[in-house]
Amino acid sequence: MDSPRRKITGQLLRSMSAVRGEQELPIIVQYVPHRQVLRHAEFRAGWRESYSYRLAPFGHAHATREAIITLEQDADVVRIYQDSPVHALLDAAPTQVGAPFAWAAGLTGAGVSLAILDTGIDPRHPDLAGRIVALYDVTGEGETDTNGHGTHCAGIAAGTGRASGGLYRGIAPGLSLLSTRVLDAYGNGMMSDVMAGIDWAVARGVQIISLSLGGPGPAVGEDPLIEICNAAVEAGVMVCVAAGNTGPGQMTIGSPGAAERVLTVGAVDRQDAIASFSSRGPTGDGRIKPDIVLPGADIVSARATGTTLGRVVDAHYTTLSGTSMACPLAAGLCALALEAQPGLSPDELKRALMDSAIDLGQPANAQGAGRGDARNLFAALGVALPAEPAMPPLPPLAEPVTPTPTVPTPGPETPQAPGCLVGWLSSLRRTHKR
Amino acid sequence: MAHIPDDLLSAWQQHPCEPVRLIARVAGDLAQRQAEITALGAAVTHAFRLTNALSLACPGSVALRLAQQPWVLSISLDTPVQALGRQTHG
Repeated sequence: MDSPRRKITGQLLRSMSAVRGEQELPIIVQYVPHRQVLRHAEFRAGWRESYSYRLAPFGHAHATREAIITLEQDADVVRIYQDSPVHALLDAAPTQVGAPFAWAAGLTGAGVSLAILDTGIDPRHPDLAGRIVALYDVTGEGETDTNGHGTHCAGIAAGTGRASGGLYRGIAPGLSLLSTRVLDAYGNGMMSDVMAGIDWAVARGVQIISLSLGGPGPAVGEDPLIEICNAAVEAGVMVCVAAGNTGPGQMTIGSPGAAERVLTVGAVDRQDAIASFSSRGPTGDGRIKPDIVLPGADIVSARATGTTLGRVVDAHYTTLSGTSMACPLAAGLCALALEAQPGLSPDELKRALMDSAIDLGQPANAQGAGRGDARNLFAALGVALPAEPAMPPLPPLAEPVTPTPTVPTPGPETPQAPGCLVGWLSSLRRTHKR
Repeated sequence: MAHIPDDLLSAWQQHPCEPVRLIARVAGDLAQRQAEITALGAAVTHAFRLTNALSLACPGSVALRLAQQPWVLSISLDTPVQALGRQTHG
């Protein structure tokens, strides 16, 4: 038989030695079977009962050191534990859309490539190190993400969660990334720069493009950026585009979100309510948009080295909101689906995502078809997922790999326009980028 | 005649020396059109194989000459875009 002292765990004994007088400790008491309800409610000096569990012989209380010592003499008490803080194993967004059920089937987006067209991606981030297979800088400022927006988006789609013990894992942590920098250090760019990034990514054979960017609405379906997005889909690439952050007014979806063939993604919060900022349709030419909504409020993801964008969590993570955050979540869902069924066309995948979305009961021009869901998506695709969710294993810390950047197309040249001032072209890019 | 919004044509006529950034869809070989646009006095910034288009920078007077070329299908303004992430408060 155990001695009474051995009923108290070592962790609790250490805490008891550090407290004095009436200071209380949170404890969990294990009783002999069926005695917890009766015994736990008894009055004891220095003891505040808080809860008696029904499913197992345990009770929770706050107790002083002396009360714990008295309690361990009780013959009905088996063990006394210190209550300890626990942490979620996974942040909200992937769980909200059912990604752990796809992970349980071994799906992580492995073998699928995603181009993030944004402010760049930090290749040194522990969650993204070794994952970037190609770099392209359209801005002329270099591949480094000095803003943080692109790295945050990349983490949502493909972060391993390595720096957080898996807590802030992306939805498709096996994805390969193409970092295409089309926005400057302030998150601004030109339509033509984005088009150049799309052209490059498609030429590289990418399978998914994520565009967490856009211009003001309403847009119709025929500007050059929209045309090239639709052409990329025609070429077999799944293109996901953020709807915009100028809701809740109607007709607030800009370019390229108004492109007919892309998957336009609005945002919901953690309770599946449409985010007020999420842009609404219809498009300028009367079509329903967005196509689906996904979580985009208070999303914790990778923080680029040296940046201060968002509400900083720690050295490796920061919190942002926006349809920018919902868009890479959609791209990651697409990656999981393409890993399972590589032959899916962009149109088939878009249709499956929309047909399987959970109807939130909101207007079509706010929610599209509804909130995207992994379990429903795979059911629609005829792919059986396990009944229990699971986490993919954390990979070992990878060494950052810096791919050889692609040489961009030539920049502006001096014009030969008689009668006009020369020299303005050399500063044109700075003029147009704030 | 290329598809060009009337307000653009009007702006180029009124401000022939004003620099503009444009995207032009063209017919025919992209490299050849790039050379022809450069010869007109514009600076080509990107060539887009997916849509057979070119982005360019030039004064309004050059844009007007470009608009007269039979192989130009459409001309649009190159416009700003921005990241769509928002600061989270609280």
